[in-house]
Amino acid sequence: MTNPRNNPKGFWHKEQNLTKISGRWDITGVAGVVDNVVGHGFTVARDAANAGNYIITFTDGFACLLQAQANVIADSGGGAIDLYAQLGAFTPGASGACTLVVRTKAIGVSTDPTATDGVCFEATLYGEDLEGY
Amino acid sequence: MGTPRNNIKGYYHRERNPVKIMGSFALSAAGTLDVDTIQGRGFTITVVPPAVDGRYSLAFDDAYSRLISSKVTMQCAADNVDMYAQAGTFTPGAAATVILRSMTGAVETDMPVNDRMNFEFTLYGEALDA
Repeated sequence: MTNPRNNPKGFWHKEQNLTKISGRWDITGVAGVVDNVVGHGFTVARDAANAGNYIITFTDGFACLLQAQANVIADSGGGAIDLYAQLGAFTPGASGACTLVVRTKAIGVSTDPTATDGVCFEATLYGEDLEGY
Repeated sequence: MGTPRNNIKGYYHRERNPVKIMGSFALSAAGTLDVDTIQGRGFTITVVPPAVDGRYSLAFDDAYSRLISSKVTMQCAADNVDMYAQAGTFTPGAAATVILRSMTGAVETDMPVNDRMNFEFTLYGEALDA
């Protein structure tokens, strides 16, 4: 071992000016109706025309999605919920116009989680390029 | 409520010196990586040839001793694609690698062209300074 680098406590990565937006929502009542949204920097609503499609609208403008992750929180079903999360289209844009679709899928069919289940996500985005918007 | 701590804006966590490597990639044709649309830094991606569909090898640019966590998610344009992403074997060392898979059920399957696999790895690297 060489001398320690004495790096400050924290993550190191190779990018500059990234933004992390992470959050979660629950389905507490009717399937498809978003409730208990946790996190900052976004709003979320179920696509009225497409079950299992949730549209995240970012509060700020972002130019590019570096990567995003999403998971289903299966609180119901006792381990028998066949549902996974998948990302859909990312639309870059200015504040309030930048969106990311998160889907909850049962095999190949987008399906709303049942009540008491939820969805969580974490998106890593480039925002710096949008200063000129 | 106590007195505000006036913490700086940012994440707090319990680790020292972990590294985040994250990005996404797509195929331009079946079994062919779309090198022009790779997002992220600190790695190279290759399609594992030739007989295994849906398997990709990610080689890290730097050395890493241990994988703390990995997250992978598929991003599909169509709403009817039955596919999820799965992480495979992590090999530590100066030439650290990890396997990624696009899966339909329990079968490795090539991603549809232009759909993307997103990934985020958290790794320890400091111990490999020597």
